[in-house]
Amino acid sequence: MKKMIFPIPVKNIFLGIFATTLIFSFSSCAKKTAAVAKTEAPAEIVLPENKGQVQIKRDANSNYVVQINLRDLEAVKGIKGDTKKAYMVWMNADGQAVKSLGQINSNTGWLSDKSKAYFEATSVFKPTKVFITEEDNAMVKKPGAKVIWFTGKF
Amino acid sequence: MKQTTTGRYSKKILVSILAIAFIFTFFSCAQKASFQTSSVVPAARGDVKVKKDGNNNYEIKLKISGLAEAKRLEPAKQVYVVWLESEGHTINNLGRINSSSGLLSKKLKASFEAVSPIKPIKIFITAEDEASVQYPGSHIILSTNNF
Repeated sequence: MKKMIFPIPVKNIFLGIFATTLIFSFSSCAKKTAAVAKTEAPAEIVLPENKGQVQIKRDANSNYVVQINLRDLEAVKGIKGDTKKAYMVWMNADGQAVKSLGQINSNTGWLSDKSKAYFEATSVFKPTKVFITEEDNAMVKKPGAKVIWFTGKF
Repeated sequence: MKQTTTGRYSKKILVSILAIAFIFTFFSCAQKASFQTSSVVPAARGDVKVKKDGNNNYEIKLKISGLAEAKRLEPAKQVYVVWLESEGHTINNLGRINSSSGLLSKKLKASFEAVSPIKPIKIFITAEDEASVQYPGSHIILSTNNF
């Protein structure tokens, strides 16, 4: 029986492939999020340009994660400078009352782009539409009349 | 002589880093509360961290270990649901939390993250037959004290 002896570079390649496969199998087990819906927000009435994007994912607990990225939030708000208004993110879900997800504000971090805004929230219900309203405070339970941004139906 | 000066500088840098870390630890504004010992899942232990995020919402993070799977409870349930109680005793469903044992660990671990525009005064977990319930059932598994 002739024993196969691989040269060292071939051995290294085999080891590399084995290690990569092992790493991939571990990392794929750890991350259980998967995008189920992604939509570009349609042009809203005040601003015809597209100013943001919403992504819906599932987290490891099977909740829905709503991620919003807005460009030029000040322009979306339709106002200039600081105001004491709260900008509330809401979601619709089939057979459910409108749910408040939280406030959205422009980035404030030291190195972050202040013209952008990022928001993330979770919900046990599958969102069918996401929208932002201008409110006097963040404690409101129902959305007011001033909708400043909204998506189409997912 | 030169070595002594360098040593003094590195000592100062080290002291500054320690001081900054110390300040950050105390002023990060995060509130932490531990779950009370549960008679239903006595091995479960964990805590809740609440802090304000960049959007002025309350960021809620849960970490639990030793949480038996809901199906192993008596009576068996399908899911665990995390609830937020706010002032005025309004209760909101924050989402479901799964307990799972990892590939490298046999501990039944669970972690959960959510945000809320409303300030929580208490976080609790119930075992339910479905995650989309509007009100908590009577099977409270874990609960914090009021913050």
